[in-house]
Amino acid sequence: MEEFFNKIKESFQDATLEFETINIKVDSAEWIEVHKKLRDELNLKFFSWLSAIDWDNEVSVGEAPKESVSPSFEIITCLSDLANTNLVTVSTSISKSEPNIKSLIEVYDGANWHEREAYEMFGINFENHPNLEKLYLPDGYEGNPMLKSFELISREVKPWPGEVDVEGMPEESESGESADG
Amino acid sequence: MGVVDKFGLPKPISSVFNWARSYSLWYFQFGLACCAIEVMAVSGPRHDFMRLGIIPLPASPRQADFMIVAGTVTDKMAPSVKRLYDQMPEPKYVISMGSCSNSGGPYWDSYSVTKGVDQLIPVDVYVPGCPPRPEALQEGIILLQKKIRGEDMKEKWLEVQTEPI
Amino acid sequence: MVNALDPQNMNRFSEASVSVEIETEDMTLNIGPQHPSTHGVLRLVAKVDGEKVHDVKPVLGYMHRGYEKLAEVRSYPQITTLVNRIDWVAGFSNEIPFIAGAERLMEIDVPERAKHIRLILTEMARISSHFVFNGAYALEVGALTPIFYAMEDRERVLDLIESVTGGRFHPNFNRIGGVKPAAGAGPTSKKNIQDLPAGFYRDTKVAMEKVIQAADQFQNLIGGNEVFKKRTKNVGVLTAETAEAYGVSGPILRASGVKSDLRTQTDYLPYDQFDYDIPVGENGDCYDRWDVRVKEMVESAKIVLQAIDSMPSGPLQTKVPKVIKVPKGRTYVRAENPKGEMGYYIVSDGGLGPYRLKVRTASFSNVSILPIMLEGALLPDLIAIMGSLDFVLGDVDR
Repeated sequence: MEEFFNKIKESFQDATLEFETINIKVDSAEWIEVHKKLRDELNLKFFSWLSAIDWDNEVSVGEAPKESVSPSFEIITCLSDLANTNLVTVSTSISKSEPNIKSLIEVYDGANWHEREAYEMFGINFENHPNLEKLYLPDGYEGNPMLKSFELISREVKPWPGEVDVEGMPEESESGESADG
Repeated sequence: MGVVDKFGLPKPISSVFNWARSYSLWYFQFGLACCAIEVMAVSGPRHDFMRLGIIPLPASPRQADFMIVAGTVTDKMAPSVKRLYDQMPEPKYVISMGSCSNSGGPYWDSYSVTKGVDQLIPVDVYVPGCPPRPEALQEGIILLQKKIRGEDMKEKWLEVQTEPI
Repeated sequence: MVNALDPQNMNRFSEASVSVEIETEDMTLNIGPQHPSTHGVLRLVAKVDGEKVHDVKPVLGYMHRGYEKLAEVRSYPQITTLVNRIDWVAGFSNEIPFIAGAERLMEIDVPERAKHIRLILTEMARISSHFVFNGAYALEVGALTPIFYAMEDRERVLDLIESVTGGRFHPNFNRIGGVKPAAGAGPTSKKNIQDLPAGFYRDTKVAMEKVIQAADQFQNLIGGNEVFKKRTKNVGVLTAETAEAYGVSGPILRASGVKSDLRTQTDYLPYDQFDYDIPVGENGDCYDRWDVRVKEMVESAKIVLQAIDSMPSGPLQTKVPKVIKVPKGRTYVRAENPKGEMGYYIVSDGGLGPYRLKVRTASFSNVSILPIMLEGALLPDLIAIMGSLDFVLGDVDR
């Protein structure tokens, strides 16, 4: 893992290795070139997945981020190498008001369905995609479910009844082995 | 069957009919999710439901007596469930298996799950569990058989005629 | 009057050649969401020209339950119970990468005994998933008996899983930092340590021997059958390059000739202590995909036999705080599920639950090659190819 990380750092200065995952942050204008370079020179031919994160300060589900962030979409792809199983994630940021990015379909064939899913869940527009249409949701569904501003109606109507922690955690006994509680 | 509407069937004849009906149920395969694997296990050699009389498994709703809805019903699948239920000929019954089809289950707050199949079709027996053990499903089938045996033919036919299609 | 049924006249009629252009057009066949098979509710809209299929469009979403959105409103232990319903045939193996990711972000060590128990249960889940595949694939190709044999053999393995965890295929057995004290071991009290039930080692040895025998039986009964071979050899060939570009993983990739198994790369389970082979196919057709899975069952049984012989003693769970908060960070953890590569990308912000959880499932990428593989196939081959991909709709739709 270390030597592969050093090799990546030669080409991309912005690479970080945290929690055993290498992450390369790039600009959205270089999206296609970076992927071509990773596929051809570093032999990362296995396209694992593509997805997005919605960074926002006002959330209607879950908890808001602890430090305030500037609202944006972060698009992440994950590539790997079958012979040595090296793994790399590539991320970029695009703005929320104009979510456009080039499609990766000319570099990897497998990006087809992943990009359709990101379009449907977040509303991100992928240029040059052959058929950008809905994958999961029924026809006539309005809204993009994964946005932080999309509410879960059932939770608004009736809060979850099980807010109480019913079972205690196991405690240490005298011999130091964990017993059940 | 105008005779049955007006006079009703005498007890011995209707009990013979009901007994015959309850022991030769044909069920329509409607396995959607994890509970379908439990239905397959119930039909396997260890817990065997063929001894209860459910021998062939017709894949077509036109030949079936009852339907086991096993698994999560999503909003996209809901029109198909209703359409298949309507295609089954009378008398028909529905067993709702598992907590997803009883009331939404662990996905009760999801944006694309129907909260219970009884919002679409009338259910006769609810089998709880996630997934229910094969023995629990067998108990559900036996309860359904008891219900069939206690039915009155006249009321069942009259109910059909007054129900909107 | 010409009598058409007279034999002399019949000869005359047969000599005249019919040269009429019959106009045909393609029929759109809807292989609808409900069909009798294990896969679930997948809908294919296929354009059929006679018996040849040439434009297949899969329609997904009939089992979309919204896992990624639900994960944002739940805490980590609650997500564990939700997550093992993604690939609902092999329930235990879905929890493992998620728990490993949370443990990696919290930087805690799991005791050795817990790792061994997790490995044993994962391999048992793999065996039970491959049994379902064997029985159901034979049923789709046309043999009615193997599914009953497979279900019976699978029941034995499920009994073992149930004696330890309490559930047949949705166990919820993992806790952050280890495993839960086992279910079938007797009454709980502060002094007693609940551990694996009595007789577990003996029962497991017996069951694994029977699994190896059953796999041998399947090889002879089904794999040696002429009809099966005719239906599956050279049908649905997949090359390694296409598989890589689309993200296909698991037994399908190994059947196409690529020797890649993520079990050698998972450091959170002790696979490097055991000795096992990785079966690889040659042609990439349906027969190879079936064959690779049967051989994998045997390898998994061997791993379990070695693991129970060398089980270390020790605690089952490390000490973790009562309310689990995972510190800030992001990581991607992946594992070798029976269906392929399954991974979780956890973006954590220091709260009770993740900020974003991305679930990378194996069957989603495996199904995306269907339009390419089914191009030009005959209709019965369509069923055989779809069955050999061994996908589960919960995995595809999440």
